[in-house]
Parts: sequence; structure tokens; C-alpha cells
Amino acid sequence: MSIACKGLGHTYSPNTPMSFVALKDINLSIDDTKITAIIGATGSGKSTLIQHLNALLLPTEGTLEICGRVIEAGVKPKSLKSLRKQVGLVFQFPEYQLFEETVLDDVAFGPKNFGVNKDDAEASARYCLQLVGIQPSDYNKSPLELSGGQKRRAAIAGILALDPSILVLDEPTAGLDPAGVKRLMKLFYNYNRQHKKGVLMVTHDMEQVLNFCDDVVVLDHGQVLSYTSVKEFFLDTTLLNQLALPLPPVVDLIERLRKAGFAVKTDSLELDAVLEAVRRELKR
Amino acid sequence: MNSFMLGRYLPLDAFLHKRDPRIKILCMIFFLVAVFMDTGYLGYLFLGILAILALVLSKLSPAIVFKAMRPMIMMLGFLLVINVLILQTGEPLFTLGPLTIYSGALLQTFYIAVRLILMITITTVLTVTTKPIDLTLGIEDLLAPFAILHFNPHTIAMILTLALRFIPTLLEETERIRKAQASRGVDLEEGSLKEKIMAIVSLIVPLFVASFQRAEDLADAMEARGYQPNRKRTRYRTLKIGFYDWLLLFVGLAVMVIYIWWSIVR
Repeated sequence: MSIACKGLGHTYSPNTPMSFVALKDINLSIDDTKITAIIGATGSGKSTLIQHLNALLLPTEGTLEICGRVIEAGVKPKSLKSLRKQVGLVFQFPEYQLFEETVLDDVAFGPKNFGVNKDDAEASARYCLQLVGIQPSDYNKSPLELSGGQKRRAAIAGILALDPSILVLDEPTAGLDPAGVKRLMKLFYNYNRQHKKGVLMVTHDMEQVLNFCDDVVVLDHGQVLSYTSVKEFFLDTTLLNQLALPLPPVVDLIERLRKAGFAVKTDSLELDAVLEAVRRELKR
Repeated sequence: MNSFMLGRYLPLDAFLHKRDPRIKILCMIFFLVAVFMDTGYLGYLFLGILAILALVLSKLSPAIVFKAMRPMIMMLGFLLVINVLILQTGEPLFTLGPLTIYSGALLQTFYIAVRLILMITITTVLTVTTKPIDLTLGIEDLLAPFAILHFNPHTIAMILTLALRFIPTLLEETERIRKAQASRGVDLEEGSLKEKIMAIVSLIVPLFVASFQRAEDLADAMEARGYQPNRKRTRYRTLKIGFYDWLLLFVGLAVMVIYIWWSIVR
């Protein structure tokens, strides 16, 4: 299955002086069994695009096909609830959505909304809280008593508890400490690899893209600039340089060696493979 | 949210936009006093003409005024029903079962409606033509005489400025939280009453938490920059009263005096 955008466009406040075209003519067919990174400068339409995936925003042009549903511009879709269960969307700074009296109740809130009974909802809440690494002793605390990083993880558990078949995240690691970032990225990676669920992630961190993602979508001024595998994306640095993105250390190493007239022939970006290519080149 | 017109500033650069906020506030008060004077049809006709003149002088289209008025339509309807049911003055017009409609009730409702419409129009003119920051400066100056009662008008002005400043931020925040909760299956449109109440709780609690957090951060930031409410501060923007401002003040004052006199001799 895939997520297919055909000529998708979104204009905010159409037909007013404040009208703003956020997305235009997006044609994409995203493999929803992989981890896909969505990158682009601020205002390039990343957040607007992902809000279409669970129909929080509806296209003003074109169509979107996701989880066997077709959302068409100008046609009011019915019962979006089932789609919202299948596509779990984690907003930027999701910790602001916590409101229940206890952490456990808050995580179980989502499943309950989708008709899961109380016991099952709490069971999946416990499972997801353990998945994101919140201690059982914290389950009955108020969400407001948690630290910033814990709040973030609890909020993400609140979406994971819906057991969505596609997990969409808007900069999930912004503002977290390095250990927290790594832990969350591993969690998303496992969610894809072990649970066989699709993951889409907006990020600004090229290291995350390189280490954890399969494909990359580059957005620019509301249009798709490229959609390639991560490897292709980093092996050809033209686009990266054009976008003025910081290169991950391995890519930077290859780039510098090449500039110094030292050809590194590699089709892998694993550090070992790159070093092997350098050794081969030295022996020649 | 974009249809929310009441109390919004529109940068149109018309005659009334350039007038001093203090004068405009005073004129609004004069006009409101005149609206409450009992002068009959003719009085309201002239006030109506003045209100239209104010709209022209602020380059406002009737559509915008109508938009600002829309939230009041419910209230007007409610008033109409209450008045028709309760007031029993004037001639009985017609009977509907146990209910008799009196002419006095209709007349009374008509007066209230006209007054409300005039009031909304003129207050909309004030907010549409005056930047919030100028409005609070104006209020601060007009409250200055109360300083002798150990009352600090600057504090009030600062509170107003901050409140106005955070309206759009809070609207944005509400929208964000609404979407986040919608992703967790909250549905504000469908569902039983219990679900709807839960939906509203899931919006209000995070909004409160975020607002308190914001208020605390703001207070810290202000203190860090040495803000002390009771100290004398100089102003970056100073207000100046020109010839047209005096003229406007004179006209406003004249209208109020004439209406008070009119209601007495009538």
C-alpha cells in the first residue's frame, strides 16, 4: 500500500486578501512500509502536508489516497474518525495536549475515544508507556509533574496507544537532550521494523535522516523538490549543498576527500564501508 | 476564526484612523450617552446618519459591520422573545393562543435593537480605526486623573495591552490543541453530550496550562528587563492633538449636549 498524492494543493484562507498557497501540485507515492523523512526549510509546507494525512486539513486541490481511503478536494469526507485511528499524528511539542489527571489516563484517552473498552485501553496504555520508557511508578502521577522529556514521551505514547498503521511525526525530537533523541529515534525505528508500521517524520536533523530513515521527501516552497532513497540523497551532495543543509559527518568526509581529489567509490554510507573504500583507494 | 470581526484593527488609513485615540474614545463615550437619551425616532435617525458618516470616514464597508454584528443576532432574537412575552404596554396587536402581542413590546424591542446596532457600529469604528497599542495609550491618558486615588493607570494599560496582544496567540494555541486532540479521536461535532463535555475539557485544560506557563514566562522576561509597574516610564510613542482632533471632539461634545437637552425638553 502507499500514500498517494495526486496534484494535491492547499491554500489557506482562499479568496481573501490573506490567502496563502502552502502546497501546490504535490505528486507523491510514499511507500507506507518504510520510514520516510520529510525535510525542507521553515514554511516549505511540511506541517501542512502531514496534516492532510489524517484529514485535519483537507486538500483544496487534487486528491489524497491513504489507507484505502480517497480524499478529494471539494468533497466533504465522511467519518474521519476511522482514518484518524489508522494514521496517528504526533504534533510538534505534543506535550501540550496532556490534560488527564494521571499519565495512564491520558495515554488511554485516545484508544477510549475510538471505542476501545477501559481495560483494553489501559492495557495498551501500559504497554506503550513501557515502550517509550516511562517508569510504572510515574503512571499515576499528574502529567504536569513529569519532566519535559517525559511529557514528550508520554504524549507520543498517547498516539502509539491508538496502534496506528501509519505513524506521522512532526519534529518529534525538537528540544530534547541527545540521549532522549536517540531513545525516541530507536523507538520509531523499531515501530517500523518490528511492528511493520509505516513511519513518516518531519525533521531538520540530517543525521537522523541518514541513520534511521529509508526515503526522503524534500519540500521547497510548497512543492516536491525530490523524493529518493536516503542513500541516493546523500551520495549526490548537489541537492544538499543547494539547500544549504549541514552534511552528516560521513557524507562530509566523502565530500572533503573528493574535493581534495581523492575519489571514494562507495555505494554504502555505513562508516565501515566508506573506510573500506578509502583503504582500497589508498592501495591503488 | 477569521470571521471574528469584533474588536479587530484594520489598517485602512482613513480620516478616523489618523485621529488621536483619546479624542476617539471620548467621542465614542459621548455618542453612547446620546444613544441612551430618549429622543424618539427622529433622534435615532440622526444618530444613524452620524454612524454612517463615521463608517464613511473610516472607509468601512457595510459587509464588515454586518460581520461584527453577526454574533449579536442571537442576542437580539432572544431579547425580542423575552420582550414580546413580558411587556404588556400599548395596544394589544394580535393574540396567539394564550399569548397577546402588544405594540409596546414590539416598539421597545425595536428601540433596543436600534440602540444595540448603533452601539456596536460605533465601538467597531473605534477598534477598527485605532491600533490596540494606541487604544491602550489613550485609555492610560484618560485614566490619568485617577492617579490621585493611588490608582495606577499605567498598570491597567499594560494589562490591557498584554491581553490584546495574546488574543491571536491564544486563538492559534486553541487551534493547535484542537487538532492535536482531534488526532486522538476527539470529535467536537459528533458524539453524545458526555463525549462533547470531555472534548471541551480536553481543549480547556491544556489551554489553561499553556496560558499560565506563558504568563509566568512573560512575567519573568519583563522582570529580567527591569520592568517595574510603579516606576515612571517615558514613552516611545507620544500622542498629539491636532486641529481635526479638536474639531472631532467639539462635534462629539455638541452631539451629546444636544441630545441630553433634547431628551429633557421633549
